[in-house]
Amino acid sequence: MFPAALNTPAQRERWLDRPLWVGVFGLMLFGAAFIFSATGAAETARNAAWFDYTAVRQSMAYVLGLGLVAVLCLVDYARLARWALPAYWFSILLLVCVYLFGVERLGAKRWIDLGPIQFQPSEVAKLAFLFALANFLSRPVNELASPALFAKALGMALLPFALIVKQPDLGSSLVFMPTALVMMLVAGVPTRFLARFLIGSGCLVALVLVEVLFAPPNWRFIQLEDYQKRRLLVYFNLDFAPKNATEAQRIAARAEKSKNTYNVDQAMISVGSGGVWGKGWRQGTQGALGYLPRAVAHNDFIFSVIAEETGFMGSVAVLGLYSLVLFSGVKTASQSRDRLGRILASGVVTLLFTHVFVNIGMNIRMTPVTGIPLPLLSAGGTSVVCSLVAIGILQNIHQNRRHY
Amino acid sequence: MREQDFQIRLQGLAWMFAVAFTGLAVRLVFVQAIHPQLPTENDGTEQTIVRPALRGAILDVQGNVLGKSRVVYDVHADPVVIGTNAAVLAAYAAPILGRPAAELAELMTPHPELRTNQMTLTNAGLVRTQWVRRWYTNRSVLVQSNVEPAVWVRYREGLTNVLLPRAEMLAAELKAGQKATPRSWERVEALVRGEASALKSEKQRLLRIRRELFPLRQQQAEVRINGLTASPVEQRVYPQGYAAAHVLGYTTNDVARPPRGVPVRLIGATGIENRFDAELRGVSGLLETHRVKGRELVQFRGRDLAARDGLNVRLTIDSHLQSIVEQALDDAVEAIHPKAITCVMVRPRTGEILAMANRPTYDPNQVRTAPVDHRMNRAITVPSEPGSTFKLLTYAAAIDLGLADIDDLVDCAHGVWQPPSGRPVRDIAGHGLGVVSLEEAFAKSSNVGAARLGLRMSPEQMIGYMRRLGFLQRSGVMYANRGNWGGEHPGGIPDPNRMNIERQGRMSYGYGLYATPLQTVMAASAIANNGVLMKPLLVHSLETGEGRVVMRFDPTPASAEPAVRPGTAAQMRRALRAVVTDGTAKIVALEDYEVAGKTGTAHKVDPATRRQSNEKYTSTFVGYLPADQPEICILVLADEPDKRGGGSHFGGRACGPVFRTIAQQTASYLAIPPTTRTNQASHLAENPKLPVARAR
Repeated sequence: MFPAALNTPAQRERWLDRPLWVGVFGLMLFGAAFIFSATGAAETARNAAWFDYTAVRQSMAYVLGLGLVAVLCLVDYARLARWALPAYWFSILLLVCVYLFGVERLGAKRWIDLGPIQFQPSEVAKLAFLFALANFLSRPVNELASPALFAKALGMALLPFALIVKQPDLGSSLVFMPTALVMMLVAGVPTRFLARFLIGSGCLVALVLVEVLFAPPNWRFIQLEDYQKRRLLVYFNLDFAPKNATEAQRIAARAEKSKNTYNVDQAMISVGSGGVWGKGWRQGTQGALGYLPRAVAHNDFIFSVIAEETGFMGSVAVLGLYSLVLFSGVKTASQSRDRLGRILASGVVTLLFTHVFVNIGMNIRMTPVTGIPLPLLSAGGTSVVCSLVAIGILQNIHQNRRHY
Repeated sequence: MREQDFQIRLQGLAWMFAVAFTGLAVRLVFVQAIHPQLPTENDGTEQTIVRPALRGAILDVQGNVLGKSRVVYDVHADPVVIGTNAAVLAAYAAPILGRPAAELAELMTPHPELRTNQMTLTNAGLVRTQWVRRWYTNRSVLVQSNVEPAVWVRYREGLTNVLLPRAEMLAAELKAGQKATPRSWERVEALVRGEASALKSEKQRLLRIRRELFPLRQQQAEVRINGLTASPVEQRVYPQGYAAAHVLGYTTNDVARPPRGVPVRLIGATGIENRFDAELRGVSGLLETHRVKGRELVQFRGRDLAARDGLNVRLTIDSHLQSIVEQALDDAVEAIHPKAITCVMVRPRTGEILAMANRPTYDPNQVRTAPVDHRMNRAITVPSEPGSTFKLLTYAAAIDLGLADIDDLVDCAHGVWQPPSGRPVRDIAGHGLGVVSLEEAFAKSSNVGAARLGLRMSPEQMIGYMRRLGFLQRSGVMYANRGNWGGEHPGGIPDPNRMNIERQGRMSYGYGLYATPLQTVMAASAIANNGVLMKPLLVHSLETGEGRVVMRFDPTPASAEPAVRPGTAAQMRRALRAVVTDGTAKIVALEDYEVAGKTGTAHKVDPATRRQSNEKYTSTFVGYLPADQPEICILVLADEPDKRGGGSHFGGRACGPVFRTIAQQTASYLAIPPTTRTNQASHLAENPKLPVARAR
C-alpha cells in the first residue's frame, strides 16, 4: 500500500513511527488539558490535594503507559506473542474474578479493587485477546479455509464477549466483534465465512431489536438489562410507555425518557454551543454549570467538553490526531514483516477505531450511548494504559518491520 | 492469500476508516456549524443580586438626625443542615441572641410533615390536576429578628470554638481506640478547628485522624456556615422619638412578603418620608452572576454596579425648637385636656417652618401600635372654622381696599347688631362695646365690628383677599407632585356661589369657612412680614451622605406682589400689638419682648344637632415677636379644650400660656435681642457677641 514511502533510505532506517507518536502526544495533551477543564474547578472548590486532581492522575497514567510501552518495545512482538495464550487465559480468569468478587459501581460489576487502585479487567482482556487471536490466525493461509478453525477463532472472541456482557457492559463486549472480524479478514479467512457470519449476526441483532423495541412486555426471551433497553429506546427515539399504557404511566414514561436522554441532550448542547471556534479553554459552561453531569463529563463525554471549548476546529483536530494514529497503524500493518504483525496491527487499529467511532458518535448522537471510553482522552487509568500498550504494539511492529 | 490480496484488504480497511471519520466530521459540521443545538437563553443559573441602597437620613436644620436607616439582621436557621447539632448550637447561640436555649433548639429541630398539594400536569394540551403527597421540611426558620450587627459578629466569631456533637463522638472513639492522653484530645479539638500546627508531630497517626476528620470537618463547616444565616434588613429609626413625627412620616415595606433572596425595600408612607421617597431611596446596585447549588461561579460574573445611597433631606425644623414645642404641648395636654392641639412655628421673613407638632401623636418607631387618627398631621390636614383669628383678614382687606383706617371709629352696638338681612350678630355676653376705634374693636375681638367692616366690601373682594393671604388653596408645603399634595387640605368655603349678607357677615369673624392651622399662621406671618406672604418651607436642602448640597430650597414669596400693602401691614401690626397690650391676650405678654397676636375662639358645630355648640370650641392663638421686627410667628390651636378642670375655652386663656412658654424659650434659644427698653442693656451685657438674631 505504501511501497513508495518505504523506498527512501531515511524512512527505512527510522525505528520510531513519528506520525504515530505525534498523534499520540497530541491526544495526550488534549486529554490532560480538557480533563482539567472538566474537573479542575470542582476539585479546586473542594480543596483536593494536587495528586487527587483527575488531570494529574490521568497524566500519571500517561507516564505509566509510556513506561510500559518502552519496556514492551525492548522485546520483539513475535517473542511476546508466545505468551499470548497464557495471557488470554489469565485475562479470562480475571473476568471470572470480576464476576465473583468485583466492585459494583452504578449497578455494574466491572472493577477489581487492588487497594489503592481499581482496574477494569475488560480493558486488559481486549489486549490479551488481540495477541491470542493474532497468534492463532498467523498460521498458513490454507488452514484458515477450514470451518472448524473459523469456529475456534470465533469462540476465542465469544468467550470474553460473553463474560463482559454478563458484567453487564454490552458496549465493551461489542468491541470484540469488529476487531475479530477485521483480524480474520486481514489474516485471509475466506470472505464467504465472514459474510455468512455477518449476515447471521445481523439477523440476530435485528431479531433482538425487534424483540426489545416492539414485543409485548411478557415475551422476554432475550434478557437485556433495563438500562440497555432504555438506551436503545432513546437511540431509536421510541416511546417508553407501552401502547396500552394509562395516562399516568405515559407521563411517568415521558419523564423517564427525558431523564434518560438528558446526558445526550446536554452533550448535544455542549457540542453545538461550541460553534466553529469554541468558547476557549476552561470557558465552557455546560460542564462548569453542571449540565453535563460531572460524573461523565471527564470520561465518556470528554469529547463534548472539547467540542464546546474548542469548537469545530478542535473537534476536527482531535479527529485528525486519531487519523494520524490509525493510518500510521494501517501503514505499519502493510509494512510488517510477517502475518502475525499484520494481523496484530490491524487488530489494534480496529480496536482503537471502534472505540473512537462509537464514543464520538454517541457524543453527537450517531451511535447509542455505551460506556466505551475515548482512547487516551477519557479519564480512566486502565483504559489509558491499555490504549498506550496497544499503540506500543504498533510501535513494536513498526520497529521490527524488517528481517534482520 | 497473495501479498496483493492482503494489501487490498488493508486498503479496504483504510477506506472504511476514512469514510467513518468523514462521516463523523460531516456530522460535526452539522451539529456545530449549521444547526447547532444551543442552550436555552436562561438556563436557570443566571442570577441578579440586588445590592440594596441605604435610605437617606432626615436631618434637622442643624444636621441632627431625625430619622435614619441602619442595617440589622434577621437570623434564620436551617433545621436540615443543623440536624442533630441543634442542642449544642442552641446552647451556644442562646445567650448571644437573647432567646432561651430550649426555644432555639426547638426552632432548629427539623419537623418534616407530609403535605398533600395540588399539582397541575399538562400533557399535549390537556391540563389535569392531581393530589400529590410530599414531604416538606422548613429550610428557613426565623430565629431572631433585628439582631445588631455586632451581636451577629460575636456569634460568628465564637462559633469556631464550638465543638458539635459528632466531633465529640469521634474524638471519644479515637480516645478509646488509642492511648488516651489529654494531649490527644486537645489535638483532636485542634484538628476539628482545622489548625495545621497540630499536625506537625506524630505525622503518621495524625494523618489517619485527619483522613477521618476531613469529611467531618466539612460537615462542621456546613453547620457553621449554613446552620444559622443572617440576612441584612434595613431598619428605619427615629432617634428623637415622637418629635416632629407628623412631619417625618414613616415607612412601610413595599411588598409584604418579598420573594426569597430579595431584600425588603422601605418606601415612605407619609410625611417627608413619602414626599421625598424618590430622593431618600437612592439607587440600588446589582450584580449579575451565575449560581449553581448556592455556589457562585465567579468566572461568569457580569455587570457589578455599586449601590448609590439615598440623599439626606435637611429640614428647616430645628430639633431644639421642636422639642420646646413638643414639651409645651405635652404640658398643655395636661393642663387643658384638649381633644387635639396643634402648634406651628414659622419664621415670617422666610416662611421656614421651625417647628410643627400635634397632639395626639405617635412614635414613628412603633407605627403599628398607633391609631390612624394619631398619625394625622393636623396642622395641614384638618381644617376648622378659624373664628376670631380670621378678623385679621377682614381688617387687613378693609384697610388695604381703603375702606377703613385702623383709627376709624366703629359702632359695635353693645354686642348685638342686626345686619341688613339674616340673623343678628352677637358678641360674647358681657363683651359688648360701644363706639370704639377699629384698633380697640380688633383688640377686644368684637364680632359686630368685624361684621360691619366685612360687609363694607363685596364677597368677591373678601374671597380675593383670602386667596392673596393663602386661604382656599394648598400651599404645597408637602412638595406637591403630580396632584399629590401629601395630605394638605385646601380649606374652603362651603357653597361659595350662594353668598349672602348673613354668610358674608359671619365669614368676617371667621365662621362659615375652613382654614388649616398652617394657613392661619402663614397669613399672620404675611402681616408680620410687611404684607409679603412667603411660601411655607419645610425642607432646607437635599444633601449627599458626605454633606454636599445637591439641591437647595430657597425662600420665595407666594406671589410676585405683596398680599397687602406695607402700610396696611403696619396698621395691622399696631392692631395685633394692641391685642396683647390691652385686648384679649394680655396673658401672653412677655417681660423682655413686645409680643403681638390674635386670639380666636370658635364654636364648633355639633355634628348631632348641626348647630353651633356652646360646649365645644376651637381655641387659637396666633402671634409673633418681637412686635416691630418679627422673628418668629407661632400658632397654637386647641381642639375642644376642657374648661371644667380650671381651664378656659377662650383662645387667649387656653392657648396663650402655651404660646407664652414657647415664645419665651424660643426667643432665648434664638438669642433674639430683647425689645423692651429695660432689658436691652442686660441682654447685651450677657450676649455681647450676639447683638442680632440668629439669622437663617
